[in-house]
Amino acid sequence: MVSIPAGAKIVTSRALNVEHGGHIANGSKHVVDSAIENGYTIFDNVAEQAVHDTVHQGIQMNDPFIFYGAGHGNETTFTGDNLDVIFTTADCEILAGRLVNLHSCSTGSRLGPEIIKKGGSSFLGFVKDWGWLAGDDIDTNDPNADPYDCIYAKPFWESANQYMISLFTGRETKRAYMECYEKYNEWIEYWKESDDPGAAQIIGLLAYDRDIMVLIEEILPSPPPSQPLWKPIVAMLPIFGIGLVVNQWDEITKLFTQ
Amino acid sequence: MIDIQTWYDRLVRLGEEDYPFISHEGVMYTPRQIFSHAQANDAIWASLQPLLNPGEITWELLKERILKRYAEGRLLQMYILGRSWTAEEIAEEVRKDSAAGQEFMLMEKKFIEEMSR
Repeated sequence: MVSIPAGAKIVTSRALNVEHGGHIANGSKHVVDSAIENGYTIFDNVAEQAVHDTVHQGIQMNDPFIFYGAGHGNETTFTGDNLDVIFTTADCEILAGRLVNLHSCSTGSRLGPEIIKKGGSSFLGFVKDWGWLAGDDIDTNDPNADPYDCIYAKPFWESANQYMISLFTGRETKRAYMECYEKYNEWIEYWKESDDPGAAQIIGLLAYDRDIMVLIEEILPSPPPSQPLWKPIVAMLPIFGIGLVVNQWDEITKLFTQ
Repeated sequence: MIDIQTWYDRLVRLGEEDYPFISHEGVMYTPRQIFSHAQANDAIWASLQPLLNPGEITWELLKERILKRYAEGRLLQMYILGRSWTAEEIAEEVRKDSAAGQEFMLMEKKFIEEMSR
């Protein structure tokens, strides 16, 4: 469990010049607005600033408690503007000691665990691709398009944003995760009462997004591979002078497995 | 145990009463059919009732639901898997049983699970 200290610094990376960049940049802007409203110091790298060197320099210079990212990603990689690679499983040490939220597809499956292995204090992301819906008349690439203005897109963005917004209002990470989960549920319940023809699809995708969200704060060591009891016993027999020959190993093991 | 009247009313409001919801012994049942058996309190209802929490959900059933939704013009444009998908493309992926199509079917499964709570 991690809580944000008062006045903590935040560095962001928010892509704009990418597929659906209008929704990504303006949907994530609500997180930035919440940070400012709650008195946090934010170094906001949006659009052309959301590239590897600028973001890494921003982290080195400002030593933020939190890193928040919104952009395209996959299992091993988080990207910024024009898909510039910001973090990979081989390049994420800079996030050691920091609380990280990547609003980005699939980064919870490998990149998130790697960030924690390398010392990150907390990671929230998605283990598969996060998706959202919008009306056919919406241009998600329009730099001014805010998903909060679209009745179909808002539930997805507001739900995902809830994690950071809860943290900014003093919640610790597990509580913020639960509030984020509950925000998805609130929207699902809202759409259950709707007669909109798209309601069923919205409910299904909201539940899908909710269930691929992960909070990672600890990587447990893998248990040692299980080994049958007979193996170490047989291996020790020559030590006790019973005269078994190592190159007869296969024959010996067959005896014990028959 | 779900209240069958509330459950049915909600699905009617969502326009989902004629979409296959569960399958049992190779037969798909819509909420309208399930509700009708519940009202009759017949043997089929006795066998369907335990399946509603949540019911047996086959790939076939999920595919049928999405294709029906597409045919009725009720599929919204979706942004996932690194791109946008029109209703036509979603239906095509589902028809092909592609990896993307299976993800769309998993989303449809989530809807059924939510409505079975």
